[in-house]
Amino acid sequence: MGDSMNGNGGNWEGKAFEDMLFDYLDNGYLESIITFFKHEPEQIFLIPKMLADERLRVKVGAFAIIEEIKEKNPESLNKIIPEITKLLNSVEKNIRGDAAYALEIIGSLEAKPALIEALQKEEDPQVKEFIEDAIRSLK
Amino acid sequence: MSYRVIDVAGDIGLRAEGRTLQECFVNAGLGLYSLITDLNQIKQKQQIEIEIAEESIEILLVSYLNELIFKFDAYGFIGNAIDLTIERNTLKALVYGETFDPKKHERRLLIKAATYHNLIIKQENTHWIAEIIFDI
Repeated sequence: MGDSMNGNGGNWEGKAFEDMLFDYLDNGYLESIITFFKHEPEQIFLIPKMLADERLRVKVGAFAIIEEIKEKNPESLNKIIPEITKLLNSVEKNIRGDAAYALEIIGSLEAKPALIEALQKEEDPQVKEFIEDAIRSLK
Repeated sequence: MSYRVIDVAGDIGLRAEGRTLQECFVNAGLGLYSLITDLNQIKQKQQIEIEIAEESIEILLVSYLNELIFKFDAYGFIGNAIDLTIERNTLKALVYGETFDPKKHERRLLIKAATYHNLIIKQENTHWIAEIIFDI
């Protein structure tokens, strides 16, 4: 897989590259993608897009990548909190719930105001639970 | 009133006492609320239920206080009376109070979380004593 990625000319940008990366996740190459993020930490900005992707494996991959980064370099995750909190306003309840769960994993107090605001607006009971769990987890 | 603030560098702590474990937990909860506002200004217009099961009494105390903090953070609920039972490390509580209104209620401290740092919960002679430090 590493060779295929290098086939992008070493330029890790653009929609085609994102599509390729997400397709790899969807095809089960999670470990390789985690390794990729270790070498290319600036690509962390792709994580919110992964959370908004409709494919389950891509979303699950995003959670796994967040967990991995949290272990090695937790401060860097603060950079993507604003984009993830925007997903709390998605029309798709699955995306709102996944965003809350991602914020729970990240566990930063920075997300608390947005989560509380989202909780007050949220009407779906399941998503509400995800948001409540996220707020409880923030310390 | 069987709780008092204890001095901890940089953070704030509470010492709560009670003739029973339940009373000690009630006083810890009221002590927490007293850090947030003046309990005399709260009217008992609503009640919330809390049920928590944990592996130990220490974890139960921290989880219970963090749940009260969560209800305040998420829903603005603040109480000034608590009915509580504890059986086999399962706590059930009814908390009486109302939604915090900054126009009516004094704003004291912003409590982020109850912590395990220097946590004490023990029975001494005929009393239960709890000491807990909060992140602020």
